[in-house]
Amino acid sequence: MGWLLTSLNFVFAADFNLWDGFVAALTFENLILAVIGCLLGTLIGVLPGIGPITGVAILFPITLGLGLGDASTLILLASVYYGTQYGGSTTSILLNVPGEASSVVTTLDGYQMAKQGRAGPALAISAIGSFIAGIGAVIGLMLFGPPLAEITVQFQSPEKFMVVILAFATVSSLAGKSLIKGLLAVVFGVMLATVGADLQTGVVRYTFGELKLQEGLDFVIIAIGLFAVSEVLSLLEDKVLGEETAFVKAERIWVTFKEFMFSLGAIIRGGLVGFFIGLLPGTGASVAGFMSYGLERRFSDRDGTFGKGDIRGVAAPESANNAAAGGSLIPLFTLGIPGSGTTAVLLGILISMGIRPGSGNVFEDSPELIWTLIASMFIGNAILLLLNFPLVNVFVQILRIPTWFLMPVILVISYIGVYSVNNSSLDITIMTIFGVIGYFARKMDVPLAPILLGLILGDDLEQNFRRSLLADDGNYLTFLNGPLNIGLAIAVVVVLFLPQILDLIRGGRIKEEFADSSAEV
Amino acid sequence: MHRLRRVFILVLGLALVAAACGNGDSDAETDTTAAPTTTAASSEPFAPESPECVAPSDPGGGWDFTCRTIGFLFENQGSTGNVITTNQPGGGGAVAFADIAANRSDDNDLTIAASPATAIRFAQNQYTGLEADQFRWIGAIGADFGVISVRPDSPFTTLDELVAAVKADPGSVVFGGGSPQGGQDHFKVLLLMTEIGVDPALVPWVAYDGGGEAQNALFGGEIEVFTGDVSETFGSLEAGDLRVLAVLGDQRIDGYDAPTSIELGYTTIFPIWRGLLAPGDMSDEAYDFWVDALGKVEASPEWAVARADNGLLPLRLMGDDFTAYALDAVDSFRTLSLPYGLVAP
Amino acid sequence: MANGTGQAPKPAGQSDSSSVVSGRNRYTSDRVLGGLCVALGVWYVLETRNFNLTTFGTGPVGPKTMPTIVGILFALLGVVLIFKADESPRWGTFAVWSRLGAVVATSFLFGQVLEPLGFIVASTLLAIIIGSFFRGPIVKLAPLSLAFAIAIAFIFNNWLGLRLPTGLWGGF
Repeated sequence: MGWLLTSLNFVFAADFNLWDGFVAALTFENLILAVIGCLLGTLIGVLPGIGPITGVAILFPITLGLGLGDASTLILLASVYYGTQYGGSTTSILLNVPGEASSVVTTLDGYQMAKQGRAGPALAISAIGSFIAGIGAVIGLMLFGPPLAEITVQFQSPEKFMVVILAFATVSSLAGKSLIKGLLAVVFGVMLATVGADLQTGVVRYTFGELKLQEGLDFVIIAIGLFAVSEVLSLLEDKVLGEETAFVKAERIWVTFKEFMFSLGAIIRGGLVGFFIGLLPGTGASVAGFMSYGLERRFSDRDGTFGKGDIRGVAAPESANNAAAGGSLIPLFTLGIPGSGTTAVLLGILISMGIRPGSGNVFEDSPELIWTLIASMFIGNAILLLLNFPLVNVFVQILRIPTWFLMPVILVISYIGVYSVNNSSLDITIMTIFGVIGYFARKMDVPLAPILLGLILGDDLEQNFRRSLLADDGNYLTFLNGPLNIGLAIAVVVVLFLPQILDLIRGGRIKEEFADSSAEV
Repeated sequence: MHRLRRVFILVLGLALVAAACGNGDSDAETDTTAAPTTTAASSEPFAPESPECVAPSDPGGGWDFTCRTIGFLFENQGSTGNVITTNQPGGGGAVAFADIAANRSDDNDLTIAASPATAIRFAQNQYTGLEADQFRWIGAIGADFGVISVRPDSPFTTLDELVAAVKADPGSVVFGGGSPQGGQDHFKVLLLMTEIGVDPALVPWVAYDGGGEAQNALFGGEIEVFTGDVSETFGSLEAGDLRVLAVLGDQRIDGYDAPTSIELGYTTIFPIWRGLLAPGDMSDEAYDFWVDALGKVEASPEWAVARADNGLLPLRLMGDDFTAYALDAVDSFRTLSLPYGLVAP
Repeated sequence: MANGTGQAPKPAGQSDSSSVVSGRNRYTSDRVLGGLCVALGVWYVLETRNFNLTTFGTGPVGPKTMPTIVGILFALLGVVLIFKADESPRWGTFAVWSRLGAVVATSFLFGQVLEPLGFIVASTLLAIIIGSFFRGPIVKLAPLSLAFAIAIAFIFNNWLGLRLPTGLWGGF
């Protein structure tokens, strides 16, 4: 416990501590910047394809142009970052358009909730969950940063390979009605992941001579095609057949206390999963969202409500995303290793401010900027939550736009968002093709989420497998070498079979509860 | 309809706020009208109408940095109006170069971000059908350098010891970095092995998704040598998390405690310059304009700050000098790549 | 919602003919899907022969290994699906297919004309065409689509610094 005291001491009692960070960050001008940042970020996040990385990368030179001080720049960018995350979730929930990779899972229950007239609570719990998990992750970062960084180093290619296997096991609950079709979907996703230049040898695979495919299929393009474009096609079919089911009119805008308490467990579990996944370089927020959703569904879904508009299905992945963002700062601050695209951009920004993360203890070397950054993250989270009271109200109005205009708007925004990032009309064609694939998959009960999971993890699966063997001269035992790997292997087994084991143990008790409740009725 | 209008007003309002607060220079590019390209009136000095810099990558990478920073400084130094950065990723630049060669070869307002990775890809015929001399090389300002690094507890304390071990058994030391076989980080191994007379194909190479992940692999002991760059190892070296056996350059770097390969008696160097290219049919007036503008940027105190902040050393290679240097580099990269099947047919 | 009340229409002779699936064809859809998976899996494995390897060698596991394993697995799952097919879904009528086809064709076309026509013209047209498939009144649809396109172009060009194709109309 000694280090905890040391941590607490340096958080609150060092020469320049968290308190001073807040003092530096909380000027009137900075608060205005934070509000603007959150609004801009939300708008960027709403545009599909343009995620946090692009948003921060594009806005950074503008902050140079404005001649903002370091503290102001950090506040603005932190607010933009949290805003984009939130904006991405908004379109996932309202329109089934995943604005970026990390909010794909949110569509599963969020969009169902919106259809049932519960868009308000879904948006609200996403903001609340993000806030709680985001703050929790920042606290975790402050208190446990250095010891956790040592864990990061323990995770090498064999361990990462096992984590990928664990992720696949965790989300096996996404399979849907037919196990075979769920498996087909995952394998199809892994096949999509092999398109492009191989990371080890540079060998070009499955590109049909198309140069643009050499860097692989873009996850967001596939996700928007599979979810949003196919949704437009399905809705058109319903319209033509006269079977259109209108969205239920939203009644409540905010979330009830009961709903909040119901989701609190999911938020905490999602936050923890996200935080630890965030620690591992190379994995990141999208995997964290999938894993937390999968775990939640596996262990909390007693009534089979997940996928049909369960608020916990929104709370868990949304919390995990934000916590992962916090967790990924630990290897960045302590080792100078950017674990994700966003932290790579942040690393660039910090370096340009004269901080070289990884050089000893950034908390000691440049306390002003680091504490200001952390205070900025608190402030960004808080402003975003406050902004949500009015914003949720506005966003829910989008659902009142008549279908005949909402559908074209969805298509135009999706196509142009995706186009503008790469300036490539091929992306529009790919998105349309996957829209058609998504339409047929829905008709035939092939689940869509596993395709995306395979696509996200396929590359990690293959590369970590090959790296492990390259580095260990072809020794397959490397995957069971060391306590971490064995622990992960046990976790895989537990995740796959624990529900059955729990059912066996609990069998008697659940029946009793049933008997009680039916007696009351 | 009321609701709809409210949403629109909100969206427009946000955009206006953003335009007002976020981007003061938007006024400068008010009207890029569809007027035909500038008439080559010889008396008039060239000035780009809608200056643009193509980063052949996603936002956030090195080429993107080059475009956005230098573009900002072009305007800042009064050379041009607002410079738009266009991201055109794909095939490590192949998409952008193919598009420019085919459709915008005579665009006088266009520059393209480049680095040694560009030269390597030209050398390996990865820009299908395009040769390096089909573009005009404007100049390079600022350079990073490659490094050979190991863990602090590594048995190798000098480059000589590492070289001796590799010579004795080329398969015994695992190298790794942030690019695939034949890519920029692996090229440092190719150069060094060629110099010491070891077949690079016998030396194990593990590729990671970026230098950060490769450093983590070095810390964790998965690889024994990481061939990264000075800028990405600066913090780790200061912290004592790694030991740099050699900087692949000819001059010592302030605050970076490591010998250079030249002073250790080797000839391998690997400067990672940041520069700009132009389309092949750019007019001479325009080319001279851009060389001049880039020179001004290089000489500006703002660039000195931006350069140092990003861990780059000063470098000034302009116009013909840069062209000669770069084409020469492409040639030697090709010579090195040929024996290993790295040059596409 | 525009058509909120019309959600349970019962047109006289409802097009049940399309949904009635005869005994023998009950499982056709899944069997076709299974067949496609087998074909895709086999092609995917065969395609590995076209990979151009460098002379550096590939280590213990090369770039062909995983595609081979995954392709075989995919084909096998396809075979299982053929034998364990679920009942076919109710496929749409000609009216459905023609409209879906038209939307898809419009989307492809949008990708082709975006650069020559420019964003504002192309996306206005896309919005009008798609909207009219959803039976939107053209009088409202046209001005709304145009206004929307202009708003988006404004945001992208002036604020995000992302260039949208200007084409015929020009930009901001």
